[in-house]
Amino acid sequence: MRISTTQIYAQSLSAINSSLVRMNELSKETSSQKRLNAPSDDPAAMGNVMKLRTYDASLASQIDNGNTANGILGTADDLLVLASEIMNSVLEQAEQGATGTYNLEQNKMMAEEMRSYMDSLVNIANSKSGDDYLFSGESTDTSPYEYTTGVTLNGDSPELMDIAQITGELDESVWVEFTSDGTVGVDSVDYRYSTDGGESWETGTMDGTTLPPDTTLELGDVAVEMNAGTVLTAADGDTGSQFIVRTALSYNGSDEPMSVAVSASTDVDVNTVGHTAFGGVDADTGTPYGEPNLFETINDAIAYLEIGDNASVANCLEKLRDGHETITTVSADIGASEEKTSFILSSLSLSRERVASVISSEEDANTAQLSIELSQAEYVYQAVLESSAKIISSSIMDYI
Amino acid sequence: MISNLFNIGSKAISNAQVSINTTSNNIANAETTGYQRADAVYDSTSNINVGGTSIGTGADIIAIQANWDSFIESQYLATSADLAASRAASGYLSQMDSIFNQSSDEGLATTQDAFLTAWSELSMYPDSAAEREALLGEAESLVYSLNSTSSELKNMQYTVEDEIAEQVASANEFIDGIALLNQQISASPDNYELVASRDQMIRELDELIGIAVIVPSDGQVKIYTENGMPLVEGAETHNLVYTSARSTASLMPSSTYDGDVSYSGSSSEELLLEFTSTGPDGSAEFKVSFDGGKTWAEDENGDTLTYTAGDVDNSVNIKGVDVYFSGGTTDHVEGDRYTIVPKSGLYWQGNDSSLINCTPMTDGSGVDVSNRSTGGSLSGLFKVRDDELIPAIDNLDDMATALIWEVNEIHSQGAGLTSHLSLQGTYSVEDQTATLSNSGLTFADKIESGSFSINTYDADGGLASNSSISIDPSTDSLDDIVTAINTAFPGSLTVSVDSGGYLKLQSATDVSFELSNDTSGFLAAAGINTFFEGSDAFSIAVNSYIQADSSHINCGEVGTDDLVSAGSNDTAKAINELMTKAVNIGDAVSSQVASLSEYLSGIVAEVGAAALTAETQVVCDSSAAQLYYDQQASVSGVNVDEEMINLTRQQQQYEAACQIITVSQNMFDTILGMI
Repeated sequence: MRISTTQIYAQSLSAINSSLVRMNELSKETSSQKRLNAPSDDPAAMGNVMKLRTYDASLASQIDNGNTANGILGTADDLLVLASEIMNSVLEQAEQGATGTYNLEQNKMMAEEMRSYMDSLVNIANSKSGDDYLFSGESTDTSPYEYTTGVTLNGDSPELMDIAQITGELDESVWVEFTSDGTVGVDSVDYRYSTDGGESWETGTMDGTTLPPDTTLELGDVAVEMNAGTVLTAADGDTGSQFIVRTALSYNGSDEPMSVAVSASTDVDVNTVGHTAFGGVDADTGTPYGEPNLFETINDAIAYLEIGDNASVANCLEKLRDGHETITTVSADIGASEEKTSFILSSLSLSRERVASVISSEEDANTAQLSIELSQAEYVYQAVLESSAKIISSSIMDYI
Repeated sequence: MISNLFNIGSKAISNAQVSINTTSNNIANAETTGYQRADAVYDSTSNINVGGTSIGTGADIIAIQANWDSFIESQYLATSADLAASRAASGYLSQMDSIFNQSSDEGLATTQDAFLTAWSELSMYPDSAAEREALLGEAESLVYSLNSTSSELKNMQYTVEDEIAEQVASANEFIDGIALLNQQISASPDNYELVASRDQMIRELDELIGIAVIVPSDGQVKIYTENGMPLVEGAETHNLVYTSARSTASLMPSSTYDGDVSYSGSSSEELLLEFTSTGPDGSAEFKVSFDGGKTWAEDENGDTLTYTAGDVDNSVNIKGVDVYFSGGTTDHVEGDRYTIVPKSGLYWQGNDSSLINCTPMTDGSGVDVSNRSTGGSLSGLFKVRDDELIPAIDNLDDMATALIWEVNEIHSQGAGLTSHLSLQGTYSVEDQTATLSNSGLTFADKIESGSFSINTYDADGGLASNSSISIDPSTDSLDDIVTAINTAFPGSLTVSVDSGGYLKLQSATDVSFELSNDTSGFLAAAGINTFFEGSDAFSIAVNSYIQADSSHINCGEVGTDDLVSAGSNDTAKAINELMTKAVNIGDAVSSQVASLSEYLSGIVAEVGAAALTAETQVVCDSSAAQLYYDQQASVSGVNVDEEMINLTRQQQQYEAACQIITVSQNMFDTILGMI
């Protein structure tokens, strides 16, 4: 075949160029250590890698959430173990108070000690992790428990629903006894109250015959408004109409725990709805949560101790034990959640490792092979340069 | 006899001069593109009879002939047109390839993952300002990636179209140039330089638009496009025209339809409508083909889709183009055809200035449709625009639209850290009295029958009132909903539609409100309480309401107690689930159920595959074209060494011819000396 001079030069150039392109590609792969440097390098692999990266990102965020959740759960767990220890002391104190071998003064001291345990428990219930409360459910910015007023019933009447409202702040429990029979809002009813466990009494009258009828008991620092129509009988010992106004704890948190996703199908509750562990009074309705209600029972026990009613303290013991058990149960639930999260975390980590290895096998370059190919390409390039140089430098002019 | 010798000698001298001239010319033109190596053709002159003996009279140069193989050339033209087409396509596809490149820390997929993951992080710390700002940052990165990818692709489309316009202009110059050369060659048929220039010009035209060349005996070449449209016939020419979107009708002979087809919108597809039933507008039905009538569009069950011809208010939307008929008082006849090219295209201009469509087109499987231009860089550019670039833009838009809708639908029912005092919609209605489905809202077709709740709160954050507003998109207008809300919240909430057609909710002093439980999608469609605004990859943006105050990022929702807890995170969790959740992406004709990241990986893989195919095609076409190019170069190319040898030979020939004269002169002198 005839070869024209232009062909010789064009061919040399194109050979030089194509071997240079190959060199360039390989050096790009070497510098990135990746086989996939553009979608066209392997479109299917690029599509796969993208999907896997998304999966990996979601796994990473689930692992982050899981680790944080476990931290929070661990804090709550530790706190509840502490609460359980305090409950042992509370029970010990209540058992002493139930024996009836102590005088009023000693009972009051025991009540005082119970109060301090109570404060510790409230502190635990109101504790935070970072900025967020641990026991107020989704309302993480709201302190779950606040001191308020409530009543302990120690007579035949009235019932809880007969008491409309309590206003004022309480320093000491107030023991109220009615001294005459009558109906609230109809009759004039006499009462007396004591702030020192029955050692001294103040008296008052709730005159239901006036217009409008007087339905409020004035008890020093606090006032109790009663519902009209409540039938009262004069108190005699532990029968008749009487009750104790004492501190209570209202729950202001949410009824829903906050949950986060720790895997595609699993949500974990990272905090606790406080009243399921500690009970207390519903802040919206003013009614106590159902039994076992730890805070209400302790408050009752304190009130009984303060008036020296050892029999009633004894009655509280069973409920206190139930309350203690609730704390232990909630703590166990949290422990189980921690366990579950840890298990999920380890399986997520395994998945991530697998994903990483699949991504690597799709997109990473084989370094050994690459270095061989690169030196091969370099050799080819040099050979092309050398042969091209030889061809283009020879001409018949050199010989004529 | 001696005079014959002088004669032979002088002819040989001048012949050698001509040969040396030709060889020199070859050497001088060794680098001229398209130059054809020339040879002097010798022929011996006739003998004379001298004394009964027939003797020779020397040689003449009868022609200077260019070396050129027209059979190789016609093969070369076919392969070179293919090469030009795949080269043009490959250039742009490799640009797209790098636009869509995704590495582990760069690219659309990464920013989308980061955005959706940020919601998961927010779900862990719902009231953290830091997480909210981080999420906002990720959202802005995603918006930026989508915006910039979209505008890069759009700019590329404009560049492709500019290049098409330029190439059509130069093709027309070549067409005119070839016709002019035809005329000059007919005047001087032996001028081999003119023929060589014409051959070069034909090559250049062929690279723009694949052509077939016929050389009749008179040497006046005829040039046709590959689909048989004459471009040059002797001195007569037909130009190519690159023009904007247009439609043509081709009715049955029996048809008397007197209206016109109209359309709005643009698409990369050409629509061929064929009526399948006879009747007036409003009842006659037609089917649609996207490949010039080879196949007809089908629904997911494989049945041919038919549409009813309607007026402007009852237009049908096919691939983003609204098609309707106007002015028709008579019936369509079965078989009536309309072609709508809702994009700029390539046309062949007839003698009567009529335009015939030869825009390159491929069918569903990527095979060229026969009666269109198929080769040359013009075809490559059209195909890359219509089959790769615009579909990639459309797919990206579809994905962005799905992202906007899915995020907004969840977000619009959620609640942030602070309740709203005033909310402004981001999508406008064209007609606030029309039913919602005809209101012109961007997402009007996503609204379903359902309801949403509004809660109002007093200054202390306590619940003031709440009400559920029911929505029926087929009967309720935006005005109806405005009235319903105003009636439900007298004095506390004022709802209105502003002059731009945007819905506005404004609470009274010391009143705030929250929205929740929207089963209708109305809030997202109106752009109330949404995260994104805009409707596609180009226009997507973070709602300015959220950008101004990140506490309005809705992480939670209104709880069962009608209040919003600080730790509520259901909205954030639901949005995070979009990472893997399959959603509806695309319009009715090309709808797909996939997760956003799956869909995006599909787009990227498609672009990558197209770029890879184009690269391979360039390699194959190059080797085919190179083969014929080399064969032709082997015939017509100048080899300088060869010419040097020729030159030496011709120089010696010249010297020998001179020697003939010297010898003859001596002979003459000898004769004269005898006298």
